[in-house]
Amino acid sequence: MLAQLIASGLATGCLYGLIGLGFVMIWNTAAVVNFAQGEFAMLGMFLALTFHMFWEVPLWVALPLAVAGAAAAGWATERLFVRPILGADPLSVIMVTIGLQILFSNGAKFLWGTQPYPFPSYSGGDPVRVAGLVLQPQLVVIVAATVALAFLLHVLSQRTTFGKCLRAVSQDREAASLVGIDVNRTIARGFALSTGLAGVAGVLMAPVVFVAADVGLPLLIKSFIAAVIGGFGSHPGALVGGVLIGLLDNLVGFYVSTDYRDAISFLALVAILLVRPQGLFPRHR
Amino acid sequence: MSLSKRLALVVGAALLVAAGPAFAQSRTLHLGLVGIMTGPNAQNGEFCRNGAQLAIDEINAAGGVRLPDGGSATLELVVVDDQAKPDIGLNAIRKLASDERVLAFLGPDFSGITLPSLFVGAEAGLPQITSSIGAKVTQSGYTHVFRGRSNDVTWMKALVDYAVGDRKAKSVGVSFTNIELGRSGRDVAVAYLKEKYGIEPVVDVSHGFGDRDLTASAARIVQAKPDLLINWGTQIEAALLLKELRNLGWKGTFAFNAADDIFVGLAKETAAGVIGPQNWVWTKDDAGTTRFVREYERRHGKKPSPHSIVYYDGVRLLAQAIEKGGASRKAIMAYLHGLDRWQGVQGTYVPSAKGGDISTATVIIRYTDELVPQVVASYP
Repeated sequence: MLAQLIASGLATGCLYGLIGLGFVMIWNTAAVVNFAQGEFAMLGMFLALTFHMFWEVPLWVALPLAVAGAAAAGWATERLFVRPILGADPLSVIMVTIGLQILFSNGAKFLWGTQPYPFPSYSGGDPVRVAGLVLQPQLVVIVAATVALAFLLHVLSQRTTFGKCLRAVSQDREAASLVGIDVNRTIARGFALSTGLAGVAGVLMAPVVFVAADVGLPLLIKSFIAAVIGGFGSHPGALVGGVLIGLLDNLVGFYVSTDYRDAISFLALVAILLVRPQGLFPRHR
Repeated sequence: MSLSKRLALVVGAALLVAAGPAFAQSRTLHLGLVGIMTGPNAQNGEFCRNGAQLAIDEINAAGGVRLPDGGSATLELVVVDDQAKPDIGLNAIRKLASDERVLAFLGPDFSGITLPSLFVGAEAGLPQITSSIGAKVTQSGYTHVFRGRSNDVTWMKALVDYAVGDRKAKSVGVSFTNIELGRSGRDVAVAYLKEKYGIEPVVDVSHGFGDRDLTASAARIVQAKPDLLINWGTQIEAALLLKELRNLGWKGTFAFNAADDIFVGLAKETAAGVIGPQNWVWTKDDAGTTRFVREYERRHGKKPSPHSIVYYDGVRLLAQAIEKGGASRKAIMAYLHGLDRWQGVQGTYVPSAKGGDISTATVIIRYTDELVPQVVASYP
């Protein structure tokens, strides 16, 4: 049973990690804690549902379109709501993103209703049994996609001009501007990339958890903890933090109590921050 | 008085006598309905309104209600929208209460709207038949409110009696969504299992509202190997839990309080064999249900929901109260409080029941392999 709990926790943790990674990217480029990040995962799910189930667009077209839609929504959000308040009092910025979270969540309820929708599995329906371990194919896809995305993001960050611009803006906006980088455009693109990541998390989890308008907030909480544990600002830290939360949830739920697993997750956050206030990977950006 | 004047008087009187029934016939009495008519949950309100309107149309087609004074009247439904919001619902009920034509009203369905608005109907002396199942609705001391639907305590007891008493489940597990509904259901299950059958649950486990990875809960249940799992909570979590349990190889019976279309739509084929309580279901095998379902389906092209029958029966009960008691709020209220037994399609109602819980009708359904809800036990 331990292996089962670890396998499932790993997959769920990857999803937290992906959304947490988006948190970190926005923080690094725009110095904004985007509390609406979970809603972009929800948006990715609903767009995939709309394209594939309602408009009967083939799945392998619908999924990239959904991710692109989440990215485009992130870009528009940056232009409309975030750019005007960049540099404002941090509390005001936080209030705006909390407001956006509520707006997006309620907007989804208005557009798609409060009823949850099933989403077809696109990786085979029947679980695979390996040495007593029951693996849902979708969970394997989630882990594999997360590893692939982490690699691609590393390449993007280190080898591409856009990645270098992102890093430059995250280190010093003024200096980046002085060397000719369009800071605003870079921030907008960074925002789109991070919400696109949340969109990927959304389409990956849609077949496992159903599509519903209230899925964003619980994801936000766990992903935020993941990002903080990882050292807010660290890309690998967010991913590792997500996996830790996913594993902790399952192990605490099974061996201790399902009633208190959220409380224990937060306790772990407090404990890690007491011992390492800078998080687990403070230097890896 | 001249002959011509006397003739005119006689003709006038004759015309009045002749026109009397016609005047009475054209009289219209109004019943209110407050429900969710717009927004994401509008389907709920549609089911309620359709049930009520069907009853009204049938009554009117049969000549309307016959009043104690010998006249008769047609019924008309006044529908107001609560939008599933307490503040909007409160204003909607105020609107009905201030409309003196409205003799009684049905709804709301959401307990969160019914509870804070009870005082409005009470102050106006306006009889109310609600489908809200929150226990407090009938525990607030108001005498104008009647609940036309069995509550979840009744459901749990019926479910346990069926699964443990009739089907002889030996080991029982309990799981619940960690919200008020789930916790109270869990408490009733554990207490009733112990009190009536001397059974302690082999596993007692919760999951959070919004949890999307229920592996830990499922693993604990699988490890305890219950024959029967009673799960009380919300549809998404229940469907996820059931899928995870089946993935892990558990083959026991899954019992769920909200085993409805939403749940089945999510759980898909894993819902086959799931049992659960309802106040009524369209597959119930009796003449009243068959006729009601046929007529409802003919009009709306789909099956009625368990809500529809509460509103259908509600209108018919109020129509009888008007016929026997009188066409006023006070007369309807007095009649209902004195009525010990009334037979509706849902089951037998006890309008005089203390507190206002007038229906305990409950069915236990089991989903077939084709995912059709089949009635396996029925409680009047």
